[in-house]
Amino acid sequence: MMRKQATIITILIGVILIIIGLTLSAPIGATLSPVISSPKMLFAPGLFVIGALLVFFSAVVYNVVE
Amino acid sequence: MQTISALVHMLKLEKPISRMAELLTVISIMLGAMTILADLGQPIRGIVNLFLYARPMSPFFGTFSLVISGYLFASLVFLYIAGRKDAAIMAAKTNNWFYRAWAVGYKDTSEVRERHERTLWYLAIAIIPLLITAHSTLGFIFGIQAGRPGWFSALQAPGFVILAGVSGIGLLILIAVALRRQLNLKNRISDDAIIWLGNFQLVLLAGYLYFIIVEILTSRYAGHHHEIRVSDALLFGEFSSLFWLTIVLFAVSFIILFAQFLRRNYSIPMIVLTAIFVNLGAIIKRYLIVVPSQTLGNLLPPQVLIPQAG
Repeated sequence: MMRKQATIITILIGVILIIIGLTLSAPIGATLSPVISSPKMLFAPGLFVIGALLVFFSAVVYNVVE
Repeated sequence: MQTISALVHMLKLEKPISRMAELLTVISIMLGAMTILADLGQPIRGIVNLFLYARPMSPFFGTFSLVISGYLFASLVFLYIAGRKDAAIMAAKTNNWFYRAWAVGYKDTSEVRERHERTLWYLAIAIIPLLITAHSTLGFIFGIQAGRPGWFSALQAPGFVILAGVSGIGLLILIAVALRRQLNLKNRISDDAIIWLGNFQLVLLAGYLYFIIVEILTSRYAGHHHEIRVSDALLFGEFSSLFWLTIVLFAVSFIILFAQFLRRNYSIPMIVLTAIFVNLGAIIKRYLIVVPSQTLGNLLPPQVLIPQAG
C-alpha cells in the first residue's frame, strides 16, 4: 500500500510541476515582444524538466519501495 | 533503439537484444547531447540558460527537454529496472559495490518479477510516443524553416524518426553479431533475433526510400526555382556523387533484405553487410540533409557585407 501511495504521489507531483513549468514557460496569447515570449518565471523550463523526470522516477519508486 | 527495447518487451522477444538496445540508447543520447554542447561557444552557459530561459515554442525545447530529460532518463530507468535481477545475481557472485547498489532491495520472488515486468511494459508504452516526439522535434528544427528551400518540408520530422530507426537497428545488428561472436553467445543471441532485426530494418528502409522518392519528385515537379537549385545540386551537381552513393547503399540493402524475406532463406553475414551499408548511408544522408540547403538554400541572393569606417 505504501508503495502505491508513494508512486501516485510522485506521479502527481511530477504532473503538477510539468503543468506549472509549461504554463510559466510558454506565453499565452499573441507574442508582441521578446519580453512577453520569455518565460514568466526564471527556471520555469527547469520545473518542467524536473516534473518529467519525477514522472519516470515513479517507476523506480514503485519497484524499490517496500 | 529504445523502440527496439520497448518492442522486445511488448512482443516478448529475446532479452539480450533488449539489454544491448537499452545500453546503446543511453550511450547514444549522451553522446548526442555532448556533440551539441561541444558546438556551443560556452557550453556551461548553454546548459544553465536552457533551464532558465528555454521557450516551448522552439523545437530545440522539445529536443532538449524531451530528449535529455524525458527520453534519456526514461531509458536509464528502463535499464535500471530491467537489469535489477541480473545485478542481484552478479552482486551475489562478485560482491561488487556497483551491482549491490543497482540491486538494492531486490528479492527474486514471483511477485517482484511480475511487478518488474508490468512496470517495463508500461514504461515501454510510455517511451514510444516520447521517442517519436523527440525525434520529430529534431526534424522540425529543419522542417519549419520556411526561408530554407530544401529544409522546409513536412517530411523532415517523420523522416528523422524513420532514419533514426534504420541506423539504430543497423548499429544494434552490428553490436549483437560482434558480441555474439566475441563472447560465444550463439545460444543466447539466436539467428532468429538477428533475422527479426533485419526484417524490421527492411520495413523502415522501405519507408525511408519512399520518403526520399516523394521529396525528390515533389521538388522537381512543382518546386519553385530556389527548391530546384538545391535539388539540382543534389541530383546532378556538387553533391550528386554522395547522394547517389546513399541511394545505392540504401537500395542494395533493401534488395538484399527483401530477397531474403521472399525466399525465407536468411544469411547473417548478408544482414550484417546491410547493417554496415545503411549506417554509412545514414551518415551521408544526414550530411546531405544539412549542407546543401545551408549553402545553396537561400531565398535571397547572397549579399556581400562591406564594413564601412566612421
